[in-house]
Amino acid sequence: MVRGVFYLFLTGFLFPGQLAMLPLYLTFSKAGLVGNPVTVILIYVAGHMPFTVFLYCAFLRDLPRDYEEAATIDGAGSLRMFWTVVFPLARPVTGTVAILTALGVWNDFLNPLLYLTGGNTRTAPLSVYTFVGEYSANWPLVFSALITSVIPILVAYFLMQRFIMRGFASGLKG
Amino acid sequence: MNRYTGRTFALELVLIAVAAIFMVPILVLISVALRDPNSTPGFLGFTWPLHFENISTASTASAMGPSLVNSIVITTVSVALIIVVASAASYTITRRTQRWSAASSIFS
Repeated sequence: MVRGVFYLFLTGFLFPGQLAMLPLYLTFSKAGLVGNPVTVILIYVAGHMPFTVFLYCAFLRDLPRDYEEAATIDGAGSLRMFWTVVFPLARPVTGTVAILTALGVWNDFLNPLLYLTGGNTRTAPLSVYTFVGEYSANWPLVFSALITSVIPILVAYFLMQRFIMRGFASGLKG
Repeated sequence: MNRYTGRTFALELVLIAVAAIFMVPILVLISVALRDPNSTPGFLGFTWPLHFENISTASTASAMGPSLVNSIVITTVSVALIIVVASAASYTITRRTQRWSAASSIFS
């Protein structure tokens, strides 16, 4: 059963995101959520779930259960054991997941274009697109906007570089 | 103890060459960003004088400030939710001890 649930998550790899684009848009449109950032957040969370679960499962399977057994003896419940023992131990893989998903979400252009165009909640890639016209583009301004838009994610990368390297070294082994 | 041999030197040269190749797109990005917006197209080489005002012009014209704030909020909330939900689900999947735990992981 557990293996089935794991593979259920992994089936998410099989389906391209474009397959769900039209049904999702119609659903969110009927719900009145187009133009709301919650829409893209929901899509990102659901879309990144298979890959993230795959990474966490690979890491947690190799994690010794001794710590959890010690916590059980000390009287910790399941939730407390997870948040105070297991989650801190999974910091390398958390760092990897954070940077990979953050990069994917930050650079995504299609979903904000579909759901956030025309409102006050457009994202940085949509602002860069301001200078791209139908027949021409002002490339110096496009590239200047690109430089501005990459600064926050670059700062985040340098701040988390230690975790990323450790995560790639230990968190991705199956 | 590793000795510095001719092979090490060759490897260093290869790595420097690879690093230089990786730098090319970044140099193109910077060179195009700092050239006169009315200049003729062309992607290689810097043109003088450098127009640093392009960055402020682009930021103002495209309302980049609010867009960056929106991007930061959406990215932060999305990443936090992904980590919380996926780690909890993965923990349940890998440490399940009871039959109903697998079913509960679907809703976690």
